Amino acid sequence: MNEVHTQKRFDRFSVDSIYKSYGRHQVLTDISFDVSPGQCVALLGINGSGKSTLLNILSGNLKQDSGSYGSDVPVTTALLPQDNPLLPELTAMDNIMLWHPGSRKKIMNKHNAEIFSQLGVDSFLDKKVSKLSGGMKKRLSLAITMLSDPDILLLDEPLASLDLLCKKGILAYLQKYAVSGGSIIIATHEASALDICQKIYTLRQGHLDIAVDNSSQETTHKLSSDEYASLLI
Amino acid sequence: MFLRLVRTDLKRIKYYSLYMILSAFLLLTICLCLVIKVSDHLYSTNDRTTTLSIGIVMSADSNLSQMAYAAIADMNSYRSSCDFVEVDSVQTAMSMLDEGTLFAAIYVPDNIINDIMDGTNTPVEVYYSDTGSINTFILNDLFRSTSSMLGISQAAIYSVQSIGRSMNLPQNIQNALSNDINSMFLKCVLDRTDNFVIQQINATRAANTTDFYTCAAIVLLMTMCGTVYISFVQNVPKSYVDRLHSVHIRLPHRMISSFISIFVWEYILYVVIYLALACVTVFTGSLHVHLNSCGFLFGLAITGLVSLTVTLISFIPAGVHGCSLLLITGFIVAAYLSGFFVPETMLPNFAKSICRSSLLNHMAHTLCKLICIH
Repeated sequence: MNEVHTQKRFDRFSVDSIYKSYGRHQVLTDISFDVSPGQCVALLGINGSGKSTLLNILSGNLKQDSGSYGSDVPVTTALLPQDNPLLPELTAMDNIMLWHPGSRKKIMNKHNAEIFSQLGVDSFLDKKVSKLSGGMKKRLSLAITMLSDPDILLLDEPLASLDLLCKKGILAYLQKYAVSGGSIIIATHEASALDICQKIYTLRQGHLDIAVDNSSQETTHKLSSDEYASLLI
Repeated sequence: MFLRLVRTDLKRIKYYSLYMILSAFLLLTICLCLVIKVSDHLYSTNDRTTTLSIGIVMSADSNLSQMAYAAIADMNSYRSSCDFVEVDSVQTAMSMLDEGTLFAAIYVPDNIINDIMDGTNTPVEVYYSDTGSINTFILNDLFRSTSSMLGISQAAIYSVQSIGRSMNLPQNIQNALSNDINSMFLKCVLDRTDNFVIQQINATRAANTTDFYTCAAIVLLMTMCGTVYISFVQNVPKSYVDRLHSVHIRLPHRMISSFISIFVWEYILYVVIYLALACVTVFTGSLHVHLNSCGFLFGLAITGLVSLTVTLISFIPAGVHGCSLLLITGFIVAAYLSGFFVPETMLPNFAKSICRSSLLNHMAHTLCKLICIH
């Protein structure tokens, strides 16, 4: 299996007692959890439950009111937001070159070329973003995020509005990433995304609760639709 | 990262600018040439332009008044622009003004010439039916100049009378002298106004009104085209802005990068407009725009001002439509106060002082001096 992540050594990424409010509306209350290297953690919740807020805090885009997060060694995080941060007037390659220094030749090194190939992005690098489908844009956004070789990947609804084939492709890639030692925190309300997660947390009214913990097991337990539905109630 | 942002913005803005600039060049050269060529058939004929009907109310018994009227009516400046109609009374003249039969009415008092001769400053009343048009302005100027001529003739008559008194001439000789000098003014002096240079009325203070409005149009066109760049600034995903924020690219960086991109393409637009107008000058001869290095260099200053305005307005969080509306209405007000639509001398008094100190007005005048060469 090809390496998608250069494995770095960190013991555990901890999130401790994060609080966040917007005015008088308390969005996150005492959020605490851990992520180990190679682990995939899901944050499950309905729309407006605070998933995106938590991911933005962990990526450094937003400041929490109180609480902390981090690891014993410095770790890099990269956020893939729900709406793709792509400029529609430019080509896929131009978008990549905005976020990563160097010429086209330098960017197309062995490691990056591997990422493009695995995500299927290499077939449309010179196409304008406005002409790409939703699935292509999502794969391109993920490729741009992966180029920074993050230790922890933060994904906000990565499978929203994608067809089944596209979802399978992205999930397969994320599994490879986790196997290579990368950690994933995925905010979703899609059942298919939970299949690759060892831990599932539910976010309800600002509170985080562990719902499923398969971290000690070798394979993840595939939730049935009833089990999934019950988590959201 | 900032340099990559600038490079990216320069690539992005091409998408907004290319077609607009091409269209500007084609429209300006082809359409302007066509319009100038057919303009003679659109609004002017071989006949002389319509004259204004001016009513004259004066006593038929007063020979001197009749002489004065005949002399003035014969003057070129009046003959080419006015048709004098004798009206028997002020009331009749007023009702003709109301009906629109007359454009203006002049009430000449009965003893006007005698009054001038003996020092009584009896005013000549002028009534207009329309106080706001360029015709009113021109007529007003004409009447004022005539009034000042009468004042000069009065001064000359006084001088002669004073000489007669100081020389202790007999009264009958003094009277004859006064009448002769008055007659001389009426028959000879007023008649000789054609010998002097006729200065064209110029309400814009520019060397040539056409040149001023050409330069004003350049600034107007550049600003209006700037509305295209509002969507260049505003139509970016929020997640893109958030990601820029995460790599320490904040609002000032984005504003500078956008300004650079807008400046480059606005200058290209300026050069295209300049070239187009120079082509029109060559093909039609109706404009006086010539290419020179000062014109290109001064374009940088105009471009800087326009680009700065567009950039600042684009970053107002009012949406694309809100910002476009703000730019257009704001600029129209500024252009009006700078004399771009109405001649400066016809602006309200408060606007005249704003106009004279307006940056836009100075820019248009300077551009006029640099690129419009006769």
